[in-house]
Amino acid sequence: MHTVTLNLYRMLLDKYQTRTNFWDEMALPNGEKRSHYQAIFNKLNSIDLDVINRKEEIARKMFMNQGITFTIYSGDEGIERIFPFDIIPRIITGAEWQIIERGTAQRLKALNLFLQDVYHNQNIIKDGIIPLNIVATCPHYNREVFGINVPFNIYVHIAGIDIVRDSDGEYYVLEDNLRTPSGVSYMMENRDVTKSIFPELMSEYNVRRVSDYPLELKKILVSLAPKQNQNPCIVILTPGIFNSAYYEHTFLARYMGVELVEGRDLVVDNHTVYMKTTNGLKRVDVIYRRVDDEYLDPLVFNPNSLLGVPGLLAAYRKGNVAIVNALGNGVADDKAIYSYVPDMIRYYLNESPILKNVPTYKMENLEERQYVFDNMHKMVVKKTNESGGYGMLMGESATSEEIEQFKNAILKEPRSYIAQPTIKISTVPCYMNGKLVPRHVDLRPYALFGPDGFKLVSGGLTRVALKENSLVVNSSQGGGSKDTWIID
Amino acid sequence: MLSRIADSLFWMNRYVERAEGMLRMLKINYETSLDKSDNENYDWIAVLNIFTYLDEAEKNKIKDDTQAVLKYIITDKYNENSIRNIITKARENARGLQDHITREVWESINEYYLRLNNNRIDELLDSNQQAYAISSLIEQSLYYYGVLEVTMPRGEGWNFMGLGKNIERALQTADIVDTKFHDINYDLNNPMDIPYWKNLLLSISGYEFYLKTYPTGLQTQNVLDMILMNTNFPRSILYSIRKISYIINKIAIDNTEGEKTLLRIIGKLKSKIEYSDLETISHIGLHQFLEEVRDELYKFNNELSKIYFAYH
Amino acid sequence: MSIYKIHHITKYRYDRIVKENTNQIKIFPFPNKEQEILSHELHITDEPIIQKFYDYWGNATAYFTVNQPHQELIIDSRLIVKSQQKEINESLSTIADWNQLNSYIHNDIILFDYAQKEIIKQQAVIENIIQMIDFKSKSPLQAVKEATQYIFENYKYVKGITTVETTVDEIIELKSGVCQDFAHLLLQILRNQHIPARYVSGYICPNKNGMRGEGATHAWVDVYLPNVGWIGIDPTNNCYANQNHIQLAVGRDFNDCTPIKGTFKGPANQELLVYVSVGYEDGSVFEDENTVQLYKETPASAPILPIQNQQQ
Repeated sequence: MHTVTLNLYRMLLDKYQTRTNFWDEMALPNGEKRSHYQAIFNKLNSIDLDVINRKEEIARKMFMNQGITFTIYSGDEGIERIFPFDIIPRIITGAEWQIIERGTAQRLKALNLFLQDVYHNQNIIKDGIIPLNIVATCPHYNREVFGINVPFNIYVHIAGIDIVRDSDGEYYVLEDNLRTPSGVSYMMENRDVTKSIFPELMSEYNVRRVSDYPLELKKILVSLAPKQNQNPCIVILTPGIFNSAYYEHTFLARYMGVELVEGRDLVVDNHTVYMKTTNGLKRVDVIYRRVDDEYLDPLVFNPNSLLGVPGLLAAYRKGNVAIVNALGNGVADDKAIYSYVPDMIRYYLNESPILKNVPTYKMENLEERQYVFDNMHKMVVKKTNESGGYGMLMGESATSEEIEQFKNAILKEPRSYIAQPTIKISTVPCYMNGKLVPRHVDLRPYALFGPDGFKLVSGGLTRVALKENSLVVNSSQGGGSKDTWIID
Repeated sequence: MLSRIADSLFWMNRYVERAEGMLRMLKINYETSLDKSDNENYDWIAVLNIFTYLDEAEKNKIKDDTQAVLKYIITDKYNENSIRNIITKARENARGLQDHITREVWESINEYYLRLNNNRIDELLDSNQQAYAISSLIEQSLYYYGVLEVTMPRGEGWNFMGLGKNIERALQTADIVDTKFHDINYDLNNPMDIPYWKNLLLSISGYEFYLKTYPTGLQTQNVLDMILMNTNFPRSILYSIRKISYIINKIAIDNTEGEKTLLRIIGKLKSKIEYSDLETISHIGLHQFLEEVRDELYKFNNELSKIYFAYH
Repeated sequence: MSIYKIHHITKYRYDRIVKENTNQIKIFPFPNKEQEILSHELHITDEPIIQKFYDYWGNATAYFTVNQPHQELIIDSRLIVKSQQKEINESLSTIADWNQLNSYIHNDIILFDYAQKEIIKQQAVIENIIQMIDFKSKSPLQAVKEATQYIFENYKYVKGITTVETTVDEIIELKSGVCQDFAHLLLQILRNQHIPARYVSGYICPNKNGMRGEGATHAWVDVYLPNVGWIGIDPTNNCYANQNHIQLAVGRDFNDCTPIKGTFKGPANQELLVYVSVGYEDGSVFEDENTVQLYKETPASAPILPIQNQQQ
C-alpha cells in the first residue's frame, strides 16, 4: 500500500514540465537533468512526499519563530508577513559563478569611479560619454554632496546587483542597487533553514559559505573610521520599527555586534556625531545607514524628516564620520544612467563589459520612444526613480487601458521612464503542493567593497515569482525566495 | 547603553506591569459582581475611576454593564488606556529593543500582543467566558515575568526594567488604596470588617498573606499598614520604593548633580514612609499622604527621564 | 565705488526652552570682482565653531550647532564691503547670440540647471509675455531688459501678501509681490527662452536713489549671456544691479540661497527678528527692522493622559 503511494508521488516529481522558450536551470528541453541538479533531483525522488512536506513545515515554522517578517502597508495598518520561502535550493556552478564574480567586480569598479568623477571633475561628461542633461535631470544627482571627499574614494561599499538569465542562458544585469540594498538577512536565514532541512544534501554538494557576510562588512566599516580612532564606534542607522526591512537591521546589528540607532539617538556637535547614552554623549565614527539620502539630514534635505540627524552632512563633509553607502549614489543606479554603464566600463577601465546590459530605450529620444510605443506588448516600462516593482508596466500582460495610461504618463515626463524588451528570465524547480514546478527567478548577489578590495559573497538572494508564468519576482508583488548554492 | 534603549526597557516593563495590575483588579471585581446576594448594589464605578478617563456621564452609562466595562478596559481600540493599547505600546518598545532583549522575551510579549489582537478574546468577552479571558491574559504576563527572570542578562538594562516595574507598581497601589479609602472617607477608625477589604486584598494578591499576618486588631488599620509599609508584601508601596532605591543606588554612581537629586528624592520618600505611623498619616490625612507619595514618584520619574532617557 | 558698513542681526526667540539648534547660513559676500570684503565679523550666541565651505553654486556656506538648552539665538554679522558697478557694454549682445545659448547650456552642467524652467499652471501667461516682448527679434540683453521692465510696470510692489514659499503661479494671480517674487517670475520668463538665469540674494544699500526693496535685504536676478557673461538685473527697481547691490548667494531659486535656516528640538513657538542697518561713508545710517512670527507645529497627537503615566 505504502509503496504504491510513493510511486504515485514520484510520478508527480518526475513530470517536471519546463516552459518552452525559457531557460530552465535544472532540466533541458528534452527532460534530461543538468548534471549539477542530478543529485538533488534524485534525492527528492527518493524520499516520501510526507517527508518533503514536513521539511516545508519545519522551514515555515523556523521563519515564524524567528520573526523573519517584512511589513506590508495597506491603509494606516501595517501587516507583518513572512517572506515566502521555497525549500529547493537553486544551484549555480563555480564556473558560472566566476563570470558573475568578475562581471560584478568590473561593473562596481566602474560605477565607483563614475561616482567619484561625477561629484568632482565630471570628466565623463566633459568627454561626451554621458550627456550632461541625463545627469542634471537625475533626481538622485545630489548637488549637496558635490565636492565632498570620502574615505579611500569608495562610494559603493555594499551593492546588490540584480542579475537574470535570458532564454539563451546568458547572464544580464537588470539593475544595480547602490544605495541601501536589502535582503542580505534573508540570504543568511535561508541558508540556516536549508542546513536544518537538507543537511545530507549540503554535505554531498560542496556548498560555499555565506555566513561571513556580517564580519566582512564589519571589517570594512572599521577600516573607514576617521584615523584618530583606535577602537571606532560603529552604528547602524535605521528608520525605526515601522520600516519594512527593520528585521534585517536588527539582524545585522546582532551579528556585527554594533549598536542599532535611530536618528533621534544621534546629535551633531561641532561637526562631530554623537549618540545619546545613559552615560552621556558617545562619539560615532562610522554609520551604516539604512535611511535614504533625502531623509538623512533635515537641515539640508527633506526638512520634515524625523528620521535623520540635523547637521549630519556637515560632519560627513568634514570627514568626522564615515557614512555607508556614500550619499549621492542614486545617480549611478538610476535607470536612465543604467544604459551608460557599459560605456563607463570602457571609459574608466578600458575593458569590454563582462556582464551584459538589457537594451534600454530612453523615452526622451523620439525615435526610441516611437519604437517602444509601437511594440508596447513586448516591453517592460519602468519609472526611473521607483523600485521594488512599483511604477512598472509589463507590456505582455497589460490591458490596452493600462498601456494608454503609461503612454500618456511617458509623454508628460519622458525623463521619468525607460523601456526594456521583456527578458525571458530563467526558471528553476520549486516545490508546490506536492509537485515540482518551474518558476521564474532573478538573483541578487551581494558585493562588498572596501580598502582591501572587492568581495562577492558566494551566494545571494534568489527571488522567485511564485505565481505560475509570472515574471515579477518582487516581494511586494507576490514573490518569494530561495537559498542559493554556489558549488565547487 | 543608548538612552532610547534604556527608556524603552523602562516603559516596556511599566506597561506590562500596568496591564497586570489592571487585569487582577478586573478579575476580582468580576467575581464580586457575580455575588449578587452580598453586593446588591455592586457597580463598576470604582474600577472606572481608577483605570479610565471617562467623564461622569460616560461612567454612569456603563457602570452596571459588566460586559461593556470589560470590553472597554480590555480590548477597546479607542481607549488609550485599554489593555490592548497598553500591551501594543509595550510591544512597540520591544520591537525597538530586538538586539537588547532575548528572543524568548520578544516572543512572550509578541504572543501577549497577538492574544489581545485576535478576535478570540472579544468572542470570550462576548460570551460568558470573561473569567477565562482575564485569567489567560494574566497568565500571559506571568509568563513574561518568568521569561525575563530566566533569560535576561543582569546589568544596566535589567536595572532600568526594574525601575519601570516598581514605579508603576507603587503608583498603582497608591491609586487603589486611595480609591478604596475614599469610599470610607479616609476614616482610619472605620470598623469595616474583612468582607469589605477582601476584594481589595485579593486584587493585589494579598488576601492570604493578610489573614496569616494580621490575626487581630482593627482591620482598616491593618490593611493600610500592610499595603503601605509591610516589607514582606511585594505589592506594598514601601517594598516597591525600597526596590527603586536599591536599583537607583546601583545606577547613579557618577555623582552628578542630577544623580544626587535622584538619590535625594528616593531617599526622602523611603524615610517618609518608613518613619510614618498610622497616627501621623491620620493627622495629615491619608489622601494628602498618598498625593505626596505620588508627587515624589512623579518627580523621581521626571528626573530619571531627564538624566538617562533624554534623546527626544 | 562705495564702501558700506552692513550690520545684520537675526534673532530667534523661543517661548519655551529648545535644544539641538542646528543651522546653515549663507550670509557671506559672494566672491566676485565687483565686491571686496574689507572686514567681516560674525558672532553667534555661545560662539559655536562654524565650518565654512563653498556649495554647488559657489556660495560660502556655514554650519553650526547650539545644543545646550536655550531660549534665544542671535546671529550677528558685521560686514564692511567695497563695491563697484560692473561695466556693461550692451552692444556686445546681438541677435545672433540666440543660437549660441543652446551650446552654452549643454556644455556646462550648472548653466543647464539655471536654464531649467519650472512646470507651472500659468504657462500661458509666461508665453504671452514672451510673445509680447518678441524675444527672438532682439538681442538677448535687450529682451532681458524688456522682460524686467514688463514686471516693473505690471506687477505691484506690495509687502506682506507673499511669503518665502509663494509660487510663481500665485505671483501671477496676485499680480503683485516683493523683490523675491519678482525675481522668481523673471527667472521663469527667461528660462522659458533658455537663458541661464540665477536667483541672487543680498543687500541693497538704499540712499538718495530711493530704491524699492523689502528693507535692506533684497533679491534680484543674474543672467548669463553670450559675449557678456554674468550680469545682474533687478526687476524690483528696473535697473542693472549696481554698486548698491551687495551679493550674498546665488542659486536656482530662493531655496538654494536661504540666508539662514535651522532646526531645533522642543515644542516651542519661535519669533524671528531681523535687523539690518547700512552705514555710509558720510556717516549716515539706514535702519530696518522686521519681526516675523514663526510657528513650529506641535505634534498632531497631543497626549490625552497625564504626562507621568505615558512614555513621551
